[in-house]
Amino acid sequence: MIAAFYLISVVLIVSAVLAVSLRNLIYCTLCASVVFISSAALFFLLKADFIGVVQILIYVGAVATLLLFAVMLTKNLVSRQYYVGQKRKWSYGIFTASAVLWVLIGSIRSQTNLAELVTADHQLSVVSLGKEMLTAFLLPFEVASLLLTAAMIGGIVIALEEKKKSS
Amino acid sequence: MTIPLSHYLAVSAALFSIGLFGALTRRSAIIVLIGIEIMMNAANLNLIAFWRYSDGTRATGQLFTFFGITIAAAEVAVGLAIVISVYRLFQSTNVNEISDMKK
Repeated sequence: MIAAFYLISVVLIVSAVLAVSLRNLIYCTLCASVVFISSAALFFLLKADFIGVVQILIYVGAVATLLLFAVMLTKNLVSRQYYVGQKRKWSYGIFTASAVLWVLIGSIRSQTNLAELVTADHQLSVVSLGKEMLTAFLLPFEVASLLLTAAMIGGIVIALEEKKKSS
Repeated sequence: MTIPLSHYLAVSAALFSIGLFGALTRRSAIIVLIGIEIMMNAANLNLIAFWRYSDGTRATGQLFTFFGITIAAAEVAVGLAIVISVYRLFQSTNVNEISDMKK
């Protein structure tokens, strides 16, 4: 259990670093799907089985496929210029990211009462999850479905090729 | 012996910073989107970890993550449609070359 957590975490961090730093965009997308699968594995470790399955279905099944299609449609397999601007901008990115990491780790370390929290021995079934979703969370559920419809229509309209007005 | 909550939070913080670095520095708009997705994944991991270490009789933590994943899927669909549309106009997905609203 403990060994599995550290193994998955190492895979997660290494593949995330590769996903944002490799030169070939196809490899970046494949590393991103490794990130999504290993965070689904962490969800399974945290006993959130339904969310893990949803993560694999949506992220690996839909988002990674969509990213691969976008990379292939734009014929931009190897980006000619790697980073934004010069080397100096690159070091700005490193600086900002490590500053954010420093603040986050510092705030986690300052919360000493986190160590007192233990995992309760509970199992949330999918049945109770569905009941909760359709009673207390009915409004967010409907808003999410409306959002998905709007996103689908918007995606089609934006990516649709405009008709030539010549004929 | 179980894993303390702070280890999950540390992994999630590292994942967030890596995603932020990718979104800030890479030139390809697709990698910027991948960085944003990694950051949303880190937030979801945080929510699930806090749900697991709470008393957890209610499903609130899991359902927030569920809606977060839904919003991430909608965001990436529209984002990639914009990338493809911009590529058709500029023949490029490099964010540095796309500085005009119209061509």
